[in-house]
Amino acid sequence: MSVTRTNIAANVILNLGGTEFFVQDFTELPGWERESYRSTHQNTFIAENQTIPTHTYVPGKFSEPGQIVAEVFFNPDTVPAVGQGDVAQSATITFDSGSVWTFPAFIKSLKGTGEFDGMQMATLTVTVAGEIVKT
Amino acid sequence: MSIQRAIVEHLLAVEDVAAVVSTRIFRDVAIMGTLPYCTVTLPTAGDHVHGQGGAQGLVHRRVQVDVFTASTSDRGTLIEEIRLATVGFSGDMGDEPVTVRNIKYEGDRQSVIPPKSADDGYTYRVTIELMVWHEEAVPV
Repeated sequence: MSVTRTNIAANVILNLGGTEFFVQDFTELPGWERESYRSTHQNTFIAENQTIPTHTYVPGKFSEPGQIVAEVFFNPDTVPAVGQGDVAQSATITFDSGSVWTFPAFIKSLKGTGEFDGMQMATLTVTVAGEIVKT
Repeated sequence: MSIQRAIVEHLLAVEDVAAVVSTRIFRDVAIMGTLPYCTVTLPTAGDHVHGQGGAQGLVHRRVQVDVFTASTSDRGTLIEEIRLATVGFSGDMGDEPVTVRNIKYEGDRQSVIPPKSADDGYTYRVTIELMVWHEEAVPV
C-alpha cells in the first residue's frame, strides 16, 4: 500500500453555493490563525529549578478562518451564485487527496482583467465566514 | 483536425492566395519545389490552458507561414492576402473545422535566397508569424 506524503495543487475544486468555479490558481486558501497570549509578567514567580526564566503562552479561543484568493477564468455570462444575498452560503474545497473542507462563505470581491492577447481572468476573494469542517 | 491543416485549408480557400500559389500550400515540407509555394509550420509548443479543473480546451499557439516566390510582387501579394485572411479571424476553420477564437498577426520577416546555379533565379521568401487562439477537445 502506498502512502501519500504530499498532495499536488492541481485538481483542487472550489464550489460556492453549488457553483463550481473554473479556478486557474489559488493564491490563498483558508486556514487558521489565532492570538497567543503571554501568561507571564515581570512579577511571575520563578521556580528554583528554572535556570532560564522563560515566558509561557496560552492560545486564544477564536481562530480567524482566513479567506480564499483565486485566479479564475472570468465568464461575463455567469453571475456567481454567491454574489448576492446577505447571508453566507455553504462552500466546499475538494483537495486532490479527496478531502473536502466545508464552511460558510461569501464572495467579497470578483474583479476581472482583460489583458490584450490573453485570457479574461478575474481575481476572486472569498471570505470564510465560520468553522471549517473536514469531511 | 490540427490547426496546421485548418490554416492550410483556410488559405487555399482564399481566392487571391490560390490565384498565386494554386494548391501549393503544404504542411511542414514543400513536396513540390515549383515556385511560388507556402509552408505552414508550428515552430513552438502551443500553450494549452490548464486550470485546477484540468484542461480548459483552449490553446494559444504560434503558427508560421513561409512564402517562397520568384518575384517580389508575388511575395507582396501573398503577404497582404494572408494577412487579410487571418487577422482577427473568428469562427470555424477547415473542412473538419477547428474553432478559432482569434488570430493576431505578429509580423513578417523578408529574405532573399540566392540562385544555386546559373539556371536559377533568386527566391524571395517571407516568414509570417501568427498567434492563434483556438479550441481543442477536452479529455474526458
